Amino acid sequence: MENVNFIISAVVLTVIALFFGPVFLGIERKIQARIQQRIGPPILTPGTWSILKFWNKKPFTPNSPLPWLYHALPPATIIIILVILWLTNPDWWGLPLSLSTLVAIVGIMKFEEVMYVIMGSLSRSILSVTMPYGDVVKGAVTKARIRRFLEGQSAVRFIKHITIASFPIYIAIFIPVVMARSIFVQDVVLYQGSFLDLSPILFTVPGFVGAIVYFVGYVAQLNDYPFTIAKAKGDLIEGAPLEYGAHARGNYYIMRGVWMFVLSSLFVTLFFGIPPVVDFSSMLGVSQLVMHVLLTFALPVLVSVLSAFGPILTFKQLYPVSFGFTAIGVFGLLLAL
Amino acid sequence: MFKAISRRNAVHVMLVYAGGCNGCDIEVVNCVLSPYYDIEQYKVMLTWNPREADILLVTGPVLKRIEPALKKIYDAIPDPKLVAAVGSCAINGNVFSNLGGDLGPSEEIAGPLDKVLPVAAKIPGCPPRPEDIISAAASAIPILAEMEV
Amino acid sequence: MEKDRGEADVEIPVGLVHPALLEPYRPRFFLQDEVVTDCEITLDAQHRGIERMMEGIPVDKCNIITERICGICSCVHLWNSVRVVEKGLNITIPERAQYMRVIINELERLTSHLIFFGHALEIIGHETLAMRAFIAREPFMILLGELSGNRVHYACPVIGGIRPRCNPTDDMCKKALAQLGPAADYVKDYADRILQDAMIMSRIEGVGVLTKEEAIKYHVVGPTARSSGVAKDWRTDIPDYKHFDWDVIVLDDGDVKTRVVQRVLETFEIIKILKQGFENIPAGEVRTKDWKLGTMPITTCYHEAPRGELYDSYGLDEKGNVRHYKNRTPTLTNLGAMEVACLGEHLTDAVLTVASCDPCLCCTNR
Repeated sequence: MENVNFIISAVVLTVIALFFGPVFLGIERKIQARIQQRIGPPILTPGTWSILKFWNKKPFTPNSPLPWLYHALPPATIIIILVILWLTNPDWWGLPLSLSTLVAIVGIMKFEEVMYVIMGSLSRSILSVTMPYGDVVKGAVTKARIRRFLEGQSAVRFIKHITIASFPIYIAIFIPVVMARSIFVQDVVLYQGSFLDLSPILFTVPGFVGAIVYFVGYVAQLNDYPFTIAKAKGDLIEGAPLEYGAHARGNYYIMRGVWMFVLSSLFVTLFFGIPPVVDFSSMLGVSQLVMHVLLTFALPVLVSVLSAFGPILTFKQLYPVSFGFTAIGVFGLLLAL
Repeated sequence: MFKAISRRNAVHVMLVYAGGCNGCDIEVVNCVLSPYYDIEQYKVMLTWNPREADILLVTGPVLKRIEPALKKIYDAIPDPKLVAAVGSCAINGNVFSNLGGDLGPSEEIAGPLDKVLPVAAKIPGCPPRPEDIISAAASAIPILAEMEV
Repeated sequence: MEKDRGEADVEIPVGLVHPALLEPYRPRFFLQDEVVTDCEITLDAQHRGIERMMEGIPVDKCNIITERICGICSCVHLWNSVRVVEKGLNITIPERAQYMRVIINELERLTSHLIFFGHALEIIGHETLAMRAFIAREPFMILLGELSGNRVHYACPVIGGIRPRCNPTDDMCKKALAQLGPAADYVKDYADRILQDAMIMSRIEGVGVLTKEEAIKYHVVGPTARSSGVAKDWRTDIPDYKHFDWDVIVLDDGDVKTRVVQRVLETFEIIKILKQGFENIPAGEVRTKDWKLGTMPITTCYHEAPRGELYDSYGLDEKGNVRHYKNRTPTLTNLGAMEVACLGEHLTDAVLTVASCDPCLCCTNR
């Protein structure tokens, strides 16, 4: 029966992530709107209804050298990042995979980041080079060798972004590891006690430092304001996902929402010690899952407050901010020893 | 699945300046960006990416220089889509195609907009008030929801 | 001092449709890695041939078209076009009309500056404060709508005075004065909020520097020139502004921050002018009919638009039709200077620099 259990929990967690991810997008927009002193869209509009609407549009072939790969990226990424959620589930701890470790999770996170680079280099939107406008004279000397699409520039920036801005979240993930003296998710969760007798890492000094650094890393992972240089609206319009339309854009929205949910869920698992348990046989199991989902709302709410007050940071500001929080994270690591 | 209801609940509009005087454009941006009008509470969101858009708002008398770009942008919007002409210039060319001295009115104009793209909604005014733009967007949503495709 | 326009690896063309540019024009940024080494801005997208349309048109109809050159600074275009005839035919206008022209024009300058704050903050990525700019702007738009009957094209000045429907009653002036106080306080709080935000300041401080020498060389005009240390404001030469007590704001640093601060300080001067205007507006006629159209040699007039120097010149033939209409707007030289100012900046900052001269392409292309 072990086999069946882990499949059931994977399915249940997938459904939860697919439902709450898009809702998070709406909550983010709504909170920002209230900060901006306006009513703002209904909570389901920016996420759920938009996705359903995009799915009901007519599919088309994007301007891309590899249309199928470009369209396949979001669904593939959704599946891969859902693995992070599954691996934190207790039914998966016992599987003979040895993947329920934070090292494996960090490795999977890297994929999501690299995916944007691929996405950017495959997109050829009409909004830059191919815009029909006569600005290049035939026979004139062109100064640059390449005319680059906005998405190409976005891909270049994503390479820099994943090099610099990912440090904080990785350091923060390893603070609970150092405290529990184990890279296994199981040990990190058990270190914080059982659900009824919980002493979360968050409420210790190193844990709190780690949570702050995790939060900054979380914003950087989501490419949300102020860490949105690679998708800056001011010059790149939207960056890599520019060419997604119709159902593919719906998939892209889901990917963003699910990524938001998965990272929040990882935070709850590591810093509150409440893993996403799927156990409908007892009240304890159900309340644990409900508690887990409720706590995942914390980070998106905080992110939307931060992003409402942050301008885009260019690399000039990004380097000090990222290295500063990495230093704080290292300090947290030393405290945790 | 949920075709009509999802289209009613989320609409993305894209704004293209086709050579007007900025008056209409600022009023459109005003009713999107200004919390005083806040078009997002009516489930209408502004986007700058044609692949994301449902409704194309065009302001200005559609100059010959911009016409090919405008057509390309229209083609990039996935079906179903609507075009709304905002302001007198987009509807009939306003002063630019109707006034002129010895040499006649302006020859740079390819419009009005219905010569270039199929127009579903016309919002008159020079410039139209933000209230008019919001009500036009609200009245275009049911048409969009009922469309085939 | 010529900045080095160096070699480039990559070219990024931006536009015609872009959230940071808004209007259709096409900058091409030449980059080395992410640093702009050269920039070229192509402008002709919005050319409507207005100067050509004007040849031989009756001067009243001409004024309908001049107003529609621009939707952000429509009053100043109309006013300057009217002033050409008034200067050429020696028409003196009543004092109440002078006051009303200044009030409408300064309200328009205020809304234009508030759009600039909104637009600049939108490019920086600070949506919340961009929206606050529009909150601050809306009372003035409503006031303009009440005073003139339209929110954008006010059609206030006519030859010999102002249009009678723009003539406010005493109650309206009192009401406007009462509205002005809270709205001005909001603008002040808002400006303080921008200038105290460390993150915004780190984005705009020292970015896109235009020195005084460059500003003079490229003939930069308006607020952009005044924030590079060039003290020139055409309003000081216009008799209608003699009734008011106000200062020309000149700052020296020439970066994006200075351009923002200069406009903030100018906003307070505008509010000063508006308060004096509503308080001291004299009673009397608003329009003289004591003139006759006839042959007029080509006459030239300068005015200070929200973005800088505005030039209009034309003559009239014996039937009162416009001949040799010519118009030059501030953005042309300002954008040319921004091509230089953005060299050596990061691409994101370069777009911000180009936008920081508050370009208005519909005026420039005409």
